[in-house]
Amino acid sequence: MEPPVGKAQSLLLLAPVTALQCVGDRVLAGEGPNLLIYCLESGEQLVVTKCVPSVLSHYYIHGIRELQSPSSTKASETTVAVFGSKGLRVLTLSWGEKAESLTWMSQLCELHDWIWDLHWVQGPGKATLALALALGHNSVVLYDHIHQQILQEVHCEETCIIYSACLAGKDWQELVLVAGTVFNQLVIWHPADFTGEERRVKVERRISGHNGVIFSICYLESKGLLASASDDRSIRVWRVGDLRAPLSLVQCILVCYGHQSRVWAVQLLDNYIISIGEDSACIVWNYSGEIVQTFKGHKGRSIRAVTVHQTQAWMVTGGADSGIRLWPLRGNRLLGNSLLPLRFSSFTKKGSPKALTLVSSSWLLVMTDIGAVYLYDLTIKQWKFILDDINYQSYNLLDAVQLPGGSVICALGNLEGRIKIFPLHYPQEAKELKLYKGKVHGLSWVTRQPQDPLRHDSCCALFLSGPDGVLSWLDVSFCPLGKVDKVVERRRYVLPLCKQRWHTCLTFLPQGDFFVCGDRRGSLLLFPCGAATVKPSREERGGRESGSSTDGEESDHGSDRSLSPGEGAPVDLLYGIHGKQGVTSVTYHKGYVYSTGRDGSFQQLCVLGQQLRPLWKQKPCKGMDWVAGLSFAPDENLLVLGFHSTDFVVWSPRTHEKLHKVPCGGGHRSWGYTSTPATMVFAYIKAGDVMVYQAQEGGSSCQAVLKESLHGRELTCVRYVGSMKTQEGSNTTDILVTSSEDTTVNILAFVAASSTVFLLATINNHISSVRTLALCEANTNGGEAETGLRALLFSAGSRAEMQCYQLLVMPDLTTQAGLTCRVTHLISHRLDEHWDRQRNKHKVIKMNPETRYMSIVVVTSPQQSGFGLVLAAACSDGSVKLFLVDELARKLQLLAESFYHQRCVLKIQTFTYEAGTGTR
Amino acid sequence: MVSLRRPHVPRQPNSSSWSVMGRTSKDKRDVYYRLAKEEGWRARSAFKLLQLDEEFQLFSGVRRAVDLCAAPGSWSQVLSRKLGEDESPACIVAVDLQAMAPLPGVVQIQGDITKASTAQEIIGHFEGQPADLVVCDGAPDVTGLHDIDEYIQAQLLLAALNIAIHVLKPGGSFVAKIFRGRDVTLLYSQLRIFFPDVVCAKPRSSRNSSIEAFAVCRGFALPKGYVPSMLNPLLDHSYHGDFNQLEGPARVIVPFLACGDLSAYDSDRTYPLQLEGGSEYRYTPPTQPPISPPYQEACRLKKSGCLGRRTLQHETFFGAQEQGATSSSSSSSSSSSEDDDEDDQASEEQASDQDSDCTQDP
Repeated sequence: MEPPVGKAQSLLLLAPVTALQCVGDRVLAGEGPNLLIYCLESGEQLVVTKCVPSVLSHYYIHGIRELQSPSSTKASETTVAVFGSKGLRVLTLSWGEKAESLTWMSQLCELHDWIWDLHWVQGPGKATLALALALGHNSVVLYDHIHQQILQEVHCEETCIIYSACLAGKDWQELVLVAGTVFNQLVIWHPADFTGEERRVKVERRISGHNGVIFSICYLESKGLLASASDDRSIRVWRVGDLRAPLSLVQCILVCYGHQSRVWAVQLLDNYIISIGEDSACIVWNYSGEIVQTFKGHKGRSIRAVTVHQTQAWMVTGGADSGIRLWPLRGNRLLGNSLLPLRFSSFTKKGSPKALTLVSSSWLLVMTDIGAVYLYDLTIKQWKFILDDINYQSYNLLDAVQLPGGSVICALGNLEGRIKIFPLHYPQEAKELKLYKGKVHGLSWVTRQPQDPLRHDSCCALFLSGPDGVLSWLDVSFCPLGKVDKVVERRRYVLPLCKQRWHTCLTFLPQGDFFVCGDRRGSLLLFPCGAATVKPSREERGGRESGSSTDGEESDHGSDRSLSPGEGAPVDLLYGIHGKQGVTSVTYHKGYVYSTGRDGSFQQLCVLGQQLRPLWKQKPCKGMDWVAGLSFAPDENLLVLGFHSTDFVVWSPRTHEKLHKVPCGGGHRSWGYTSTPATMVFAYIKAGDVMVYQAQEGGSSCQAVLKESLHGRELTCVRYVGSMKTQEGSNTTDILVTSSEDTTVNILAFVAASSTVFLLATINNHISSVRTLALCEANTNGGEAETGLRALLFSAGSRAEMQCYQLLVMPDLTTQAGLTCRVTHLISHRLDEHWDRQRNKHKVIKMNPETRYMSIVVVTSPQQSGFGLVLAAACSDGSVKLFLVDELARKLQLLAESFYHQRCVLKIQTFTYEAGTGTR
Repeated sequence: MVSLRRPHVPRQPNSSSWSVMGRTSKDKRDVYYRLAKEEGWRARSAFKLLQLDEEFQLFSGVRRAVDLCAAPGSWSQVLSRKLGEDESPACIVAVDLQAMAPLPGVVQIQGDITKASTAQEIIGHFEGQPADLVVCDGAPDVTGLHDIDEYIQAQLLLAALNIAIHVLKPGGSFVAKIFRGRDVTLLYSQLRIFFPDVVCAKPRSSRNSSIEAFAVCRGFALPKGYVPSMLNPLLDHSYHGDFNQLEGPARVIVPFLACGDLSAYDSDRTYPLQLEGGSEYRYTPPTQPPISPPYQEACRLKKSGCLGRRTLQHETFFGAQEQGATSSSSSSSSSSSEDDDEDDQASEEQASDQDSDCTQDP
């Protein structure tokens, strides 16, 4: 990747953030051995203003301490000491309008032992400053950084290994050390207490209580409180009074259990206690020991560093995932989120709510089991009766749509195949039709980009599913006042044969020729809007069907062969792509179709000609088995709506957090969701009442991603895909892929000229850790016109799992990186797939080893050999396996395997032997 | 001081079938884990000591042995099974900060290896005689920050070395876990002061991905004029200069040996449950679950749904408390594995790699 120069130079390091310190409006971060200075003035955007490489030579930075000196009057200048391992260095930072300048106040000072804490103190001469250092074997050193001299060194009688230390006091005389030992104790002693040459100071006080090693200690002088964080997953707060004075009484005032794993650090603020831990959570506690806020968002296992701005209004955390995030410290003044029952029964005693729909963020429509419709106005908080009709009791379907003019049209469907269409404000104007002999299974309004500007808001499409898979498209036209003018059945379609044969969701494609429909069977269907004249392309596409259907045994019933699209059959069908539980939504966004399903995933597709081409299926959130819909925020951030066991959850894949969580009881009840930039509303029916959850700040996150995360766990492999320019004359961007034990693969764009990196896509299809990657030229005869960097990516790892993707990196100047990456998932392969399909597998022990792929390599590519793509894999069961890949048919086949090694095979490489190709 | 072994996070499976599924996969992933259970060892690390003995005949003629950082006790088990096979049994003393389930034939001391009193106590159990062999398989409470972990491991090794100096007979052997990190050469040079024969060995049962190895030191000889002292932390911890850069006689080169028979199982390989030539596979539960791990209370609260709820407690301590009052509940086996184990092999693997997973610092 680098041009061949004599010396390799590090351009960018993404490392765990091990130290953070707010200094004015700057944030200093220790990332590995590098010190980075970020500017926060621009609010949400963190700008790297300076990177100081290898501040402590090879030592990693573990702490940054600002000199709190009244003498430095300039607000734009500060002195900090940076330390880590056995090194420390002091520097002065000053900033003007734009640029920082940095002055070294000392050389790199190396000590003989590990530095756990550093504290600025008055030196022996009154005018001078010195550093007090707490060292690894419970000793304290008074250090002159300018002359690199140890002025004093005092040991404690307790010489055991310590895991944390905290120094307090203004000068040497009043200096006090609190050390966290491996005996789970806090040991307090005064270095100035030493007597004689032995320099062994007695421990003044030992505080016991923790059941594990102490990882962090914090002292808040103003309150006389000491806090400790431990391996036992608790935080304890101790009332100690003035540490410098002789201690009389130590009282444990709080024991806070809340972290799911070890607690790495604790900080005491005036009103809150902040802790960070190995569960990647940052918890804000109040002084009653209650959790006020829990911040989650960092990937992987640990938050390593936290710092609070001097205003104590917000804080910054740094993770082992190399990400940095900013959080507002709002305390109990939370957001204004509310969950309220609407007390339906207090308005009317007749009937109980059966179905609801949210028309807008202020209007909620509810239908009861006795066929009555009510409107609730969320702004004035009032119920209003709309109509009732005995024909629509017990079973009814309800949907409403707000027209661009503002008026609202409702539709009801019942058991006898009747539908009723009425404007919300003129319910007496209802039009009723009997469409079917049996019940109406599905009913949905679908808005459409106006084809004809003249018909702008006078017509709306209503789709209905009737018995035997009939899907009817009704055009409903309106008078200017919003009254229903005409209802015309435009076309009938037929859904593929299955048990639960009705549509669940529908969207028009903007070109206007087709619409995509999802059904209860989990299939996606492409229907023509007009009378189809084109022959189906099904036969031509042969092999693909079996690949895309998720369960083979039923796929034969998939298409109704007797029908042609002219008779209402779909022109394309992806049978059961979302499993048996059904498709929940289809959305069109920026050239792609997105569908969600109750299989816990969402699917990106594109429509090529008359084909629905699935690109990539993702499980957005662990444990969310029911994905209900997607929402694209104006800032292009994707939000996923779904049900996480019995909670409704709004998940942000970008920030990796649950924006909202409503304990609604699950997705089977009737519910509605709308969001605007200002507010988010979620309504549902529970226990005979209507509940409404309202939140300010619609879908925006409460955190700001100051620096994007990379991986949550150890990286296992990195590969170079290629280079490209985003536009003429711009810098070259290198495309890299990384894999990690966190089960994901990242596609990164790296701009060497600016040392910046952008995350283009994260692939999370692996069920276990990804250990190895391989790349190959992609087949280009897919008939697609897009130009860009194309590659075939293989990822493999634990549980004998291998995935194959086609990557297409294209310029897209609307994004930050100037590039987008389209991922097409081609193949998913597991050695023991037959095992997964076995029905009684929970009763039997699987005797086969669970092979890990340790290394994979492309042996031959079709471009080179004409033979086909052969992939070789080094496996943990001691074998080397060869696979044949058919990119077009989306198949991967085991060709041969050799158990020659009898040991875990770690690495595989190809080399050319005179007569052919050999491996390893 | 601290010792760390596999964290046995207590799991409450919903059904017996789940437990069979969940547990056998670990048996497949790690053959030594499985063999340890089948052979009754408390941890898979037992095989490391067995393989070290195979290579170096550490146990021949040993009458008195000390196991430092002994919990959960697998090395003590090996010592008690392998030593004193003739009529007079060997004397074995196991030292750890934390409580350990009792083992027949092993005297336990719950104490700190940085204390002179501990050395005295050990010698007391040997009736004033020095030890023939000192072993230490202690690892720190791994934080995941490699530099800290390597530092603490080095300190642990030096503490073990210091107490070994107090209790070893001239010519005795010392075996301790070592992380092959940046400063490993410095550690070797310190070991060489007391032992003319120092070898770094990696048994086959130690995972390839792990940074751990074992320093096998033989022929203990106290340098002239050296007075053993527990008061000072052993030796100078200065790391001035890069020891790896040293040349000539100052450069200590310690041979690195892979040990364990070539026919021994490969710890990185996944084996079928039905081993070739083995008896029919049956699931075996772990031999000895941990005694009061640090995360016990947190797990209890979580199980009862009280995590993060009832946190206010009032405890008052009057006056100083001496250490030891609480150490019965102390345990340092890492609690890093979150107990809400998902069906994600990655997280399980992490847990199973705990005892040795500290990969090389870049």
